Order: sequence, then structure tokens, then C-alpha cells
Amino acid sequence: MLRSDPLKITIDGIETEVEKETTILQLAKKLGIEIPTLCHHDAISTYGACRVCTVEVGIPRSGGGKRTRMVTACNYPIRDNGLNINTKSERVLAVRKMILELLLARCPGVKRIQDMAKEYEITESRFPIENPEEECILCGLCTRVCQEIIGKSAISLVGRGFERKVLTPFDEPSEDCIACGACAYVCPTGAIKIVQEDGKLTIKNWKTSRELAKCLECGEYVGSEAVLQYIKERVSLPEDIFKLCEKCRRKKLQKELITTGK
Amino acid sequence: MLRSDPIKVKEILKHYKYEQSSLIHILQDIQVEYRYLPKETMLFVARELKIPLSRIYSVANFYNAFSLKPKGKHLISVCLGTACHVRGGKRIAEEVERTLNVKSGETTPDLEFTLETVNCLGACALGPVVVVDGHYYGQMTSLKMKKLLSSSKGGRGNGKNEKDNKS
Ligand code: SF4
Ligand code: FES
Ligand code: FES
Repeated sequence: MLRSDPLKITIDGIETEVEKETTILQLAKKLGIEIPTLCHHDAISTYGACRVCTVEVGIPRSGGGKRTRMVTACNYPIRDNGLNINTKSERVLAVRKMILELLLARCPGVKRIQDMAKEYEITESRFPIENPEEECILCGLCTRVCQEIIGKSAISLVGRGFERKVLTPFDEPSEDCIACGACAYVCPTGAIKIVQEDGKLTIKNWKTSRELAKCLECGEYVGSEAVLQYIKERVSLPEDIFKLCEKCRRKKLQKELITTGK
Repeated sequence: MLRSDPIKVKEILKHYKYEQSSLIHILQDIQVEYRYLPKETMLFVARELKIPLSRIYSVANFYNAFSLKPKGKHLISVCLGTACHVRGGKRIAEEVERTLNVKSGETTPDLEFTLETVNCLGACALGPVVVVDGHYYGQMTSLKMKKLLSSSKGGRGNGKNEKDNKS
């Protein structure tokens, strides 16, 4: 396919040119326009679950004029010349407020959502709180990082509607999970709990524990044994990396450098 | 209790040429075979098709057609769609609940009957409608329902409500 000419569009009153298929979010980032997101991560496929990135677009009609639509910036690819995007219109703010109120009702205790809501002058939701402990917004970032980046697919979104949850198969300890913690790292709400006790790393949500490996030199924990094993299988790295902690590795390297006199 | 037999599952897999994209068909056939998706068959399918177990579990939980618990020999669907509801579908459902001592979605401990309620079977003129093992029964009354239950018990049944179950 021929590379198409850049498209001329307007975003928040700024006229600019943009490569076709760029998402609104990508463009906004480039221009320093801030759009809130929860379920988006640059390294993970988009899913459009949280809706807080909603913006307004005016799409030119063939017969002239524009039709206005509310779209999610993270997964809306720019394809039309003359698109007029507004990330802060009154309508956008109203929609975002509503979404944040709904999210706040689902996860009333989550700091990130509280803060986000506060920015839109919302401190309380008018919707009923079903479960004050709930912390998961079902954005699916954890399931996607596990599948796309780690390559394990240990967890998935299970069930429909208000019964939907992230679970391991049968809600039992997972054989696939290596306790790498990537899920907890990407989770926007801190819903995934990892604890370290008795030489083990346990991801509470997935009911899964993995042994921790110790540094051969100092005895500090290096990380989940299963993770080290997994990395070992995939990339060739010097054996040391898997046996020593970061500090001891550096010390050893220093010593080697000094004794070889380089 | 039915034990899942890997040979049966292998046949099903072969029939679909071990295609990952046929997962739903494969699970459907397993569901028909065992009247539920036994855990070990899901593990087996995951291994054979090289599909993550988490995805199979997710699919199995998504569609109403799949059940993770054994279903009864006879599937009773009582319609509670608008038309059937106003004609007393609710009373029929309660009759079944009382007689079998199960709630909607549950199965009797002897694995004879599974009760479910549905929203409109597209035969509103016949309401209240009940479907047992693929046979439609219209203008149901509590009395008719009672009789139907006692005549069904012990019969063969197929645990599914599909119209292809002609007799
Ligand atoms: S646990 Fe976190 S990352 Fe996973 S779906 Fe819930 S909010 Fe998203
Ligand atoms: S960031 Fe766009 S929908 Fe969540
Ligand atoms: S409402 Fe029962 S068949 Fe339509």
C-alpha cells in the first residue's frame, strides 16, 4: 500500500498534520495535550474499557457539515481529513464526569480514581456502592500484559456483566503463572496484591505462590525462581545473572575488571 | 456420574481438525456429549490445541450454552418472557421448583432434571410455554406440568432443548 499523505486536522483549536491511523491519544501526547486514561498502556494493545479518555470528534460529512461523535481517544484511529477533535468541550467534561462517578461508585477506595474524580470536582458518586472493597475496574490490562508481553496467559476475564472478574482458570492456583508481577505492575488501581513471605512470592488474587531464589553470595532474594527459569529458557545470558543479586553481580564484575587490570 | 473419556474428546478434536478457531464448536460438542464441560476435558483441549487454559475457561464461562456443572438428563425451560409471564409462567416455574426442589439454573441431585427460565421462546401465542428436551408444550397449567414431570422422569432425554430432537 502506498503511504498516504498526512491528514490535516484540528485538535483543541490547533491545526496540525498527522499520519493516517494515528490514534487521537498518540497525537494528543505528541502535542502535550493531556487526556486521562486508565486502561491504556503504550506497550499493550488497546481495549477501550474504561472510557475516561472520551473526547468529541467532528467528522466532516461528504455533503458538507460535520457530525459529532463521542469516541475513546485511545483506540480511535484518525482517518479523515478535516477532523475536528475537542478534548475539553463541555460535552466531553460532562461525559467524563459521569464515567468517573460510575468508576468511583465501583471502586470508592481507589486513590487513583479518587484523585482523577477530584480533578473533575467529584468527591462523591450519586450511584450506589455495591462493594466498598472493590478495586478492579475490569480494564483487562493485567490479562493483556500476561498474554502479550509475558506470553503466559495465566489469567483472563471471566463471566459477563456484573459477574465479570479477572480469574485464573477455575479460580485455582495457576500452573502457568510464574509470579512475575507484571499484572500488578500495570494495574491502574492497585487491585492485585503480592506478598512475600516464607521465601515465597504469592499473588493473592491468583492464589499462586512461587519460590524465591536467593543470591549465592549474600543470600538476598533475587526474584521468583520460576521467572528466572523462564528468562533462562528464552534468552542466553551469563549464568551469574540467575545466581547473584544485582549488587553482588556488580561487585563481581568490578573485581574482575580490576584483576584483569583493564 | 459421567466420566469424561479422552477418546470421545479426541474424536471431537479430530473432527474439527484440531483447529484452534473451532474452539467453540468443540466445546459445544463436548457439552452435548457430557451435558457439561468436565474440568479434565478443558485441560485436555487446552493442551491438545495449544490454547491457554485461561482462554478456554473464559469462553466456557461466557456462553450460556456451556455449563461447568453437570446438567440433568432432562432440561426444562420455563418461559418467563413478557407474554408467558402475564399468562402465569411464573406459577409454572414455581410449580417445577416446588416439585423438584430446585431453583432456576439448578439440577436435581439425581441428575434427572435441570431447570432454567428463559425470556421468550418465540411462541408467545402458546403461552405459557415450557420446553422439555426440545418439545414445546403450550398453554401450560400447574397440573399439566406435574404430569409432564412424572412422565419425563426415567425417560431417555437428551439434556438439551434443541428442535432437532424430533420424535
Ligand atoms: S486487576 Fe487491575 S489490571 Fe486487572 S482488570 Fe482489574 S483493574 Fe485492570
Ligand atoms: S484509556 Fe481509552 S478507554 Fe480506557
Ligand atoms: S414470552 Fe414465552 S414464548 Fe414469548
